[in-house]
Amino acid sequence: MSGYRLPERGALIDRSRPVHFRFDGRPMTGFAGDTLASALIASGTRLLGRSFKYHRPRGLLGAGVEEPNALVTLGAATTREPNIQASIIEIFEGLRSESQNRWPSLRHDIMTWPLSIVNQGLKAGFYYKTFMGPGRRAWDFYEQVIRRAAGLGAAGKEMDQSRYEKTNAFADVLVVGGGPAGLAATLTAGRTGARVLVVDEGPVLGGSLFESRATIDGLPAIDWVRAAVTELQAMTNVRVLIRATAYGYYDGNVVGAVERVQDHLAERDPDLPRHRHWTIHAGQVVLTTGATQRPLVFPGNDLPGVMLGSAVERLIARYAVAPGREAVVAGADDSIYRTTLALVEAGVAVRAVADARPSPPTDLAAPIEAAGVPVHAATLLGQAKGSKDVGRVRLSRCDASGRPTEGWSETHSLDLVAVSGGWTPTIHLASQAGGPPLWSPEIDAFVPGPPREAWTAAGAAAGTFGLDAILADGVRAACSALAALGRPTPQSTFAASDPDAPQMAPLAIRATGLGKGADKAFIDFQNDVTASDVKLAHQEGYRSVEHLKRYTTLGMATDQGKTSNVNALGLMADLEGRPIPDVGTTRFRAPYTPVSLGALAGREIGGHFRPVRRTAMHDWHVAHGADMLTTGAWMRPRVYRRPGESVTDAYIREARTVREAVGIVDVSTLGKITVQGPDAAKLLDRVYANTFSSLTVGRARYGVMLREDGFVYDDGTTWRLGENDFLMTTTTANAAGVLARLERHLAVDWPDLKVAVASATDQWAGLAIAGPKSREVLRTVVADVDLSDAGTPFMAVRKGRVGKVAVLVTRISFSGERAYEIHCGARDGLAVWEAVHAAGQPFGLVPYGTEALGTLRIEKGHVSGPELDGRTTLSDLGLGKMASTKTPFVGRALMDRPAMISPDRKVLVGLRSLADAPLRTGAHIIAERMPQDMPSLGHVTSPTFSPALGAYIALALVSAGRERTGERLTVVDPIRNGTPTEVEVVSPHFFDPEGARLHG
Amino acid sequence: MADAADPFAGRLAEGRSGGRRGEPAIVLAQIDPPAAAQLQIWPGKREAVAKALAPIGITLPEGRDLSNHFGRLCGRIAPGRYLVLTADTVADVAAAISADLGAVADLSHARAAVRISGPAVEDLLAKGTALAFDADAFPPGTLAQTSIHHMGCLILRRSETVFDLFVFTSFALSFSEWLTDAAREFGWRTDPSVAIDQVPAHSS
Repeated sequence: MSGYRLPERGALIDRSRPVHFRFDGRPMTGFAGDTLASALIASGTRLLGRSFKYHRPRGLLGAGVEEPNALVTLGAATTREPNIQASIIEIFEGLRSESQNRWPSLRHDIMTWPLSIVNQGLKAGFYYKTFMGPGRRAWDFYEQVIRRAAGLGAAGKEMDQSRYEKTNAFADVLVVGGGPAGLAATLTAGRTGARVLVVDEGPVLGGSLFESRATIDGLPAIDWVRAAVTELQAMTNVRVLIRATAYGYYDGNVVGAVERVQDHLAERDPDLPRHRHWTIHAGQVVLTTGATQRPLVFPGNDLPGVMLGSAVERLIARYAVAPGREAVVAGADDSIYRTTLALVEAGVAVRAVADARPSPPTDLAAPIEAAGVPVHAATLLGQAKGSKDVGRVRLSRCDASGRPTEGWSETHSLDLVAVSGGWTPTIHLASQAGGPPLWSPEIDAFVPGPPREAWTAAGAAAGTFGLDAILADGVRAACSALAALGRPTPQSTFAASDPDAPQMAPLAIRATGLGKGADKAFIDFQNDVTASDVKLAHQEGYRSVEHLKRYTTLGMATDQGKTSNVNALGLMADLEGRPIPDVGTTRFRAPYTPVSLGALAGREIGGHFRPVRRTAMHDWHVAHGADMLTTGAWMRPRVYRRPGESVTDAYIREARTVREAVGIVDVSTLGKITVQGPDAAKLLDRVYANTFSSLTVGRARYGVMLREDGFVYDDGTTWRLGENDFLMTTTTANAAGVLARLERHLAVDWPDLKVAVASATDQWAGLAIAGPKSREVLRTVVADVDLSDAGTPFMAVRKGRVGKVAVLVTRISFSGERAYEIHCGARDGLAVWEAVHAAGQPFGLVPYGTEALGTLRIEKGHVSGPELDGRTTLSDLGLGKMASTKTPFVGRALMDRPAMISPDRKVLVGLRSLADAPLRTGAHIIAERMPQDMPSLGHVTSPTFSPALGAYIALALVSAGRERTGERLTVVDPIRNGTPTEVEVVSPHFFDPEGARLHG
Repeated sequence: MADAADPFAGRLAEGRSGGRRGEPAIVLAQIDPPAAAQLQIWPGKREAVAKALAPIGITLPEGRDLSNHFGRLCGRIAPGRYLVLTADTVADVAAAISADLGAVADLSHARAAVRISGPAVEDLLAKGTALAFDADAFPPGTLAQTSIHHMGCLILRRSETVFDLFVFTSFALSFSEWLTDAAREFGWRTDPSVAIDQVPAHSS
């Protein structure tokens, strides 16, 4: 029982609210405000995890997002989430947490013993050297075993049911990090009235001020924080986001952040998201992201009980937790003295302070020595020993550059070691949106490089230390952000008096005590990368930082090397005998800390994944048994199934009814574009391959558009409603694309044309009525139109009425039968549909869906999406004669290139199955039965069963296909295990090739 | 069965959700489908068009402004291109513009509209669209074209806390689903439908 709760302190906990939770099934108690780590340590639990590779016992190293060891799995079933840092989870009533990478239990992990025997072999590159390489197939087998032995937590298998949301925010100034520099910047900018957004990953603003013994503007630091927060909350122009991590910095000064809205709550509100993703659009960004303390690298430095000094201070100040009873503090920068004082004041017996610098700062050391704690100058932590946690350490001397020397040594029995290997500014966001970080020898760390976006770094993030300087830097950054926005800059100062203010530069100390027989000295705790792994990488030539990282896995996984990168670089630089900047720099990419995938998806899941478009008749279709299918964004009826019918039964019945009597289909989804103006006909002549200026008012014409490269793009009919007024129809899929092309032509290519275009797809609801009895039905329901062949000939457009509703009647046929389309205002669509449906009942009218629509057009050889696949030309599709020879049009110049008129091009043909077996889309066509070494002659594009022919047929694209008419070929589908099927090549106009039925 | 002519198919006719924190912070009201027309003016004809439209009470606005002349609204949606929204008819607009001035396309059936209001209205819109909604950036009486959850959306700011949203008719249902889902955390209720020329009752 090393850790315990202190009777006083604990700025973040509420002692009146005990919280019950479980760790590995054991019931535990903490206080509201505790992190999982603080509550566990307070209850004497310091073994929190097993390491990634060696299964070594691990405790808490850091107390924030830098923590590499204490990864746990939270929740169960649908809420299960692995690899969460115990140091950032706020406990709540009923929380369930489990340790990871151990079996059968955390205390007795059977993988520890065998790995301690073989671990000499588990150095960097072990798997590659042992299992991989030419002729070594062992990896396939061992991978399974190794993956089971090594690793982090396992993901849940059940679907996460949590709600996630996304939102946007705009700010003049975004402040990332609410520590002293961030608060100074936020107050400074907020007081000017600028829109300020401050984001902090913790549950409260304040950052390192919780551990500070300073006064600011005469107030104790904590009270100053409370006053600042109160002031900010009263400002309507300032928004404070807590429990929100700014994880990525993107172009255009956009910062991504994830807010953990409810992770800390026992009772979750189903109307609120679990996480909310914020896309923050900032005028200027102030990066006050602080700094992370580094561990010392010495043998046994990963034993539970060896902690960062900053973690020790946090546990004491925020959670009133003493992580041990007897301690040694070691490091080479001034922060070790504040850590020591915190321990002494908390009643922990500090046996010694080891400062590697030859003459420690007397002002800071004096009060500690006065408290009876010996301060050793020029002293290093040589090694730590213990079984499941730290039991003793040996101190030894070093020279002025921090290298160990022979002679004096001293051993202490203890249960806590607080270390500081120096401070690493948190420059992740700056690095994502800036040039390479710059090495600062003064602070022995990287500071932000030149910005690429509009940001200023301030405080510890910029390498500034000392509270007074940090506050001033926050003010400076806010003023420079305001100035860049063209806003007046205020006079603002915050006066700090800090008894722990740093006095002396830190000394860079690297790995110590390495050598034969010594325990491992870890650099990257999360990935079990040791100092000797870095040495090995160096020996084997992996000296570039990028090679080092990949060879040893250094800096990977969830913590991304927050505590390890600089130590590794420093060691490599020592080995190379070169300064750190020559060895390489560390760059960062998003995310700074792990981001839940749910937050990135937001509500774009399930039925909300993409919005769908519905026609005015949608609910009618559903009520009449339609199987609705999404085609692009549109919901369309596939078939209207009657009881007992399969999809095939239904479409065959529907198609047959159209051929024999009459049917109606919803064609509201057709793309429609108004083309208006004195030059409208001229525009159409240019965008269609065929001519439209000769079209008379009241008539429609089928047109085909090419792309600039000469391939077919889209087709449809265009109707001339007036001299200057056309309505173009496009395929359902290409409506937006065609409109965009027309807009571009008018804006860029031909600005002289007086033409206006507008999307009218949603203006009109439409139905097609097809079949030999279609005219008889219409005669009973459409008024004001002469439906005789003379009054409404094929391709005529007429204005009429259905009831009181004004409609357009066009005589157009996709099915080859006598057919009409009726279009009306969208809101009247259902009324017109119902009227026509009712009028058709005496004639046997049925509604039909897209399956029957497809069957009918395939029987007629009409091309559609599968044939207009961007690789076909007009002549491939048998439409070569449509192209105008007089007027130039888009695609004309390139449509006759040699490859596009080659005689072996794949052209549209019909296939008739000779085996009474269906053909499948995408199946290939070959000349012989055996598929080996047979070139594919083409593929099936649109197959169906033809009720009119009583046979399986298909449209297909076949090389030199027209010359093959009458030949027998084979359709093969090896990937989907289709049976080879013999087919005969026929004309694509399977049914009524003379078109007699159009007028029937 | 819902009114066939209602693009929201009854989904917004009446409803209520949330409100756990008291009165719902979002109020939704369908806008009776207004007559709508897209007007394209040929280059150099703006003054002539303005003159032609004056007798029928339509003013061509500048910039992102929404002109409002006795409830006949007009906003610019592209260079030389305007959208007219009015409770009665746009037939007179088509009649007023001859072919040498421009072209008018009737889009009265092509849009569905909903009015949203309430104290949380900006936070609701922020979930769907990357626009700044503070009154400096988006003042009352102006419009913006954007997309919300992959649906094109025209937003008219009628007052500080009242926005009229227009989407393609075929997206009406999907849009109402997004809207009511996004409004869950604030709580929402529906008011009776309003006419486009109905001036928002409150503007706080």
